[in-house]
Order: sequence, then C-alpha cells, then structure tokens
Amino acid sequence: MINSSSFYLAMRFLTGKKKFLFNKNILGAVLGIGLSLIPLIVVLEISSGMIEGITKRYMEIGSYHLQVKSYNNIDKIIEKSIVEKINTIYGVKSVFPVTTGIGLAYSENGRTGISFKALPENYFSIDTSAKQYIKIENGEFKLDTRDSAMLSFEVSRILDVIPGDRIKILTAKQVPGRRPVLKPSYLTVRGIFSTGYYELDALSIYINIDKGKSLFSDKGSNFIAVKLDDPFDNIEGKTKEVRERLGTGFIVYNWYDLERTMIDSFNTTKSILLFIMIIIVLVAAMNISSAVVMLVLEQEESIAMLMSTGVLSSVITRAFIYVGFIIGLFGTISGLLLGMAISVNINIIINLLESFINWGYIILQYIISPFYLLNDKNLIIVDTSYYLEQIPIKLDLYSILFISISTILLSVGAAFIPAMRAGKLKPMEILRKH
Amino acid sequence: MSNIIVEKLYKSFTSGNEELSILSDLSFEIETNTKVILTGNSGSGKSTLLNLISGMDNITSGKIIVDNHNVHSLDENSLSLFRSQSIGLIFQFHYLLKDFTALENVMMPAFMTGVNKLDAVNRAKDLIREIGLENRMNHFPSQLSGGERQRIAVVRSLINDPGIILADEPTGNLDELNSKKVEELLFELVTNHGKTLFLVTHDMDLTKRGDIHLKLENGKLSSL
Repeated sequence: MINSSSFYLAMRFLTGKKKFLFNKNILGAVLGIGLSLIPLIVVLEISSGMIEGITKRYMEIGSYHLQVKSYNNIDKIIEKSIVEKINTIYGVKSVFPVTTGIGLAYSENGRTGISFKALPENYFSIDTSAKQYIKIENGEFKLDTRDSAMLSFEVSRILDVIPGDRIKILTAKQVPGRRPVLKPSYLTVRGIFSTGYYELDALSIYINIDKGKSLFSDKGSNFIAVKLDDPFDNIEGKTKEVRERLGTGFIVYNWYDLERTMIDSFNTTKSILLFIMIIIVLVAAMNISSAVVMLVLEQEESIAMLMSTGVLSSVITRAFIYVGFIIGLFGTISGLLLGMAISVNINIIINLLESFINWGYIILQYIISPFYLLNDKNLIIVDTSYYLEQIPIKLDLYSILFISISTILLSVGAAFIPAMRAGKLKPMEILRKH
Repeated sequence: MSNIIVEKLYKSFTSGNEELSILSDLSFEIETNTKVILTGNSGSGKSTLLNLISGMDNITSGKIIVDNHNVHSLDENSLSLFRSQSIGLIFQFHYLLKDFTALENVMMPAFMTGVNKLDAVNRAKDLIREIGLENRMNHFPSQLSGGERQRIAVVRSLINDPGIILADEPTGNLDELNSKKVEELLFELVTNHGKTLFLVTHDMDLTKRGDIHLKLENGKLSSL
C-alpha cells in the first residue's frame, strides 16, 4: 500500500521546484536504467525471434516433427500402410515419405557438393505449413516428373542456372557386397527456392521422391516424416504413441531429439548474452544508489527540518525508497519503449547503418585516393549467410514482464541503503551544520 | 497546570578529554499559556535548553516533562509523535524547505504526520491568510523576503496545533523593522491560539512582553 505522504515527499524531492520534471541527477539515473535496458530488450527479442525462427524452420522443413525409420528396407506397400497407421493417430496433421542423400552437381558454369531431399510431388498440398517457410525465388515448386529439381538459391548461384536449365548429378549407390557405384543422372531445374536460413538450404536440392528412392535406396536414407497439429504439446508422449502404434522394427525420433544440440547451443548463447546485459542493468542500478545518495545530501536540511517537526524516520525512509521505485519505473518504461522500438525496426536500422557506413567509407576513399577506388566491397553488418535473411522479432511478454519487475525491484533495492541512512539522520546535527 | 517541568537538569559536552558543563542542576516549572522569555549571553546554553525540551538533543542527567511526557524516556517514534503533537519549533534561521512553496512548507508537518492532505492544505491556507501572506502562498522561499520567510516559519510551527512554541532567537537574522513585525506576529498568534511560548532572545525589550523572564548564566537559571 502506497503511503501518500511519503509518495508526495518523494515526488517533490525528485522534481524540486519544477514540480513536473526530474532534476538532472535523477534524470541521469532514469536514463541510465532506460539505456541499460535497451540492449537487454533488443537481445532478448531478437535472440528469441531468431531461435524461434531457426527452430521452426528446422522443425517444419528440416527434421520435421517426427521421423520414423525402419530397421529394414521398406517397399511402397509397407510404406503406404505405415503412413495410413500414423495418420489415424489423434493430433497428426500429415505424414509423407522423405529420402535424403548427398552427391555432386555440375553445370556448364560450376559444380558443387549437394544434399538431396526427395519429397512427394504433392508436398505442398500434404504439408501445408511448409509453404510459409519455402520462398520460391524463381520458377515454381514442381516435383511432378522424375527429373524435376528445385534448387536452393545458393546452389543455383554456384551452378549459375535458372529454371529450365539442365544439371548433371553424380550420386553413389551402395550395392551389398560390392563397392559403391557412382551413378550420373540429369535433372531439370523447375524452380529456385530459399528457406530464409542459409545453413538450412545452402547446398540443398529437392527432387521427386521416386527419383530419390532410385538414387538412395538404402534404409538409412529413407524415413517417414510426420507433422503434428502442435509439435510443442507433449512431444515425448506423441513419439511414444507413434512408436507403440507401429510396433517393433521401427525407430521414432522427435524434433527435439534431432535438433537438441542446436537448440541447446542457441539457448546457451542467449543466456550468456542476457547475463552480460543484466550486468549492464546492475551497473545502472548502482547509479540509482548514487543518485539517491546525492538527493539525500541535497535534501539533508529539509529532512532534518521535517524530522524536527515530528515526521517519523520511517516516512523519510519510505520516501527515498519511493524515489528508487519511481526512477526504476520511469527508466523501465523508457527502456522498454525504446528497446521495443529498436527491436521492431532492427532490419531498417541495420540497413541504414550499413548505408551510412558504406557512404562514409566511399567518401573517405575518394578523399584518400580520388582516382583509384581502394576497395569496392561493401560492409555488411549482419551477414545473412549465417543468420536469417530478415531478423525476426519475438515479443516475449512474460520475459518483458519479468525484466520490468526485476528492474524496478533492483532500483528499489539500490535505493534501500541510502533511504535507510536518510531515515537515520540526526536532525540536530544537520541543523547545527547548516 | 504545569506545561513544562524541568528537574535537576544537567547537560555537558565532551571536548577531547575535557567535559564542558553547559547546564547545571536546572529545575523549573512553566504553567500552560505562559510566555517565557529566556535571555543570557551567547554560549550560555539557551538554545541547548530549548533543544533538550524539544527532545532534539539528549540530556546528561535529570528529567524533562512536557505535556505529561517524560521527553527523554520516549523511544524514537514516540518522540517524533510528541514533537508533532506538542511542540512547535521556530529557529533563528527559517529552515524552510527550499524546493517547496510557502503553502507546502506550512502544510508539510501536518500532512507528513498523518493529516489528510486536503485538511492540511486548508489549515495551512488559514494560517497563511492570518498573517496576510495569502498572495505569497505559491512562492518558493527564494522568492520571499527574509521577514516573510520567518513569518511562514512561525505559522509552520502552529500547523499541528501544539501546546508549546519553542522559539530560538526567531528575529536574530532580521532587520529591525522585520524583527518587530515577526515579534508582533508571534505574540499575537501565541495569544490568539492560546499557546505556551518559550522564547530565547537577546532583545531585552521583549522581556517586558513575557509573563516570566529567565536568565541563564554560567549554566544556572535565575528568574528576574
């Protein structure tokens, strides 16, 4: 319960004669908290957004929600019955076969190692959620013929091909008891895609499932992909249910099993970054302590006078605790607003920064060397080769609420010791001094 | 009925290894609604006596009873409560809160000790009107003259309606004209509001206006 007299005193100490404006020291402390919160909020929102963006991409078009692998080679009839069995499980959205493998790709203009993923020709209609993570850069998404191929943007760039072009691929086929046999084949580029995350699609080629099975027939290359209505809801339970439905001879992995290392690595990085940012907030909170100490010193005479008229020391202490609270509150609000504004506009800000720096660099080069450009490479602040093409933002309201409450409590804590000292001032000693 | 009872009061300060006696074996009683004028040379202990009566300073030995409160046996909170209810203090320097308006300065002691803000404001406005400074209510101390500041300090001492006003050379920092004005105001207010006044002064003319004139000399009190 807020004590109105202490709160009034706190507000008047904070604002002084201006009544509606904080004095300079206080404004500095408010700004300190606000500014220290900005990186924390930005890091939190961006890292959460990026982790979510990357994880979802991996879940939706990388590992899928569940992968069912057989201990034995399975033919099309068994595969169909497995798909039907899994489809009857409550909460399963779609089930489809996938084949993976590696090989080499050649064109007239280049060659590269590639990672194949063979998908059903009606992949987009079976797995509707995949569509939002696969952007067609050129051509169309079609795997309707055995020689159809969808190339990632990076592969198309290396091979320098466009839809309609033919490429040659070289794959190795394992024949039991013999050496692997190298098999050349030709594919027609039907489209060029991007997942928005370089690591996921850099060297990827999507091909027709029948073609995939003919290229990579060993059991390790084939699995059944399962998509669930909610991959976050009791994933372990759902994994067990699928395993039980299929019986022996199958192994079921879920997305968390498959991507655990990556997710844990992201979360560890995020935690370390947040820890560093929290230290900045702690330092800013110490600034509150010194601002309150200064305020106590400035108002020493007033405190002594009030105490001489019978004001309880607890009223004075509470007033300075409110001072910490008000500084924390205003600092938190300003930090949150600025942090969120920066986060939401981070892509624009980075682009602007890149432009400014590059323009500055060009001007500097013209000054140093007017007739010969020393370096024509542009500076890139965030290389999309390693991150998502557009930095995603996730407004994590619970974390923001937690940070806000913690910062305000920290501010109150920082004000506590000077507030206690203010309450213990001896009015007679102060009045004698003044 | 006695308002202030002082019994065998001793006060000394320690300076290095030396003990400096300020007040020695003081005993006296002051009735309610009495105006006491205390004179004495500088350093004779006049201000110290006032501070001991208000509980702002600690006694060495003896007893001070004010409004039936044994002042120096009270705990910190009770002492604050006693000061807010029974004592109004006026100092030589006005000690107004520099960032607060005249109105706020007067109302704060009441508002801070539990009086509803609106009541405290109304009470403060009435007192400020009584001294004719209603047009200065929203001025800060720096915008008031020395005399006006001290008049505000005088009415501030009355805001909680205490029984006793302890005034420590309230005109000591003022010119003659303002001194007269503040003295007039003080005596008028104390009489109108029915208070006990304990006034420390060097002004011998004021002794004529008091009911009792006490003089402090070498730590001893004499009644004149």
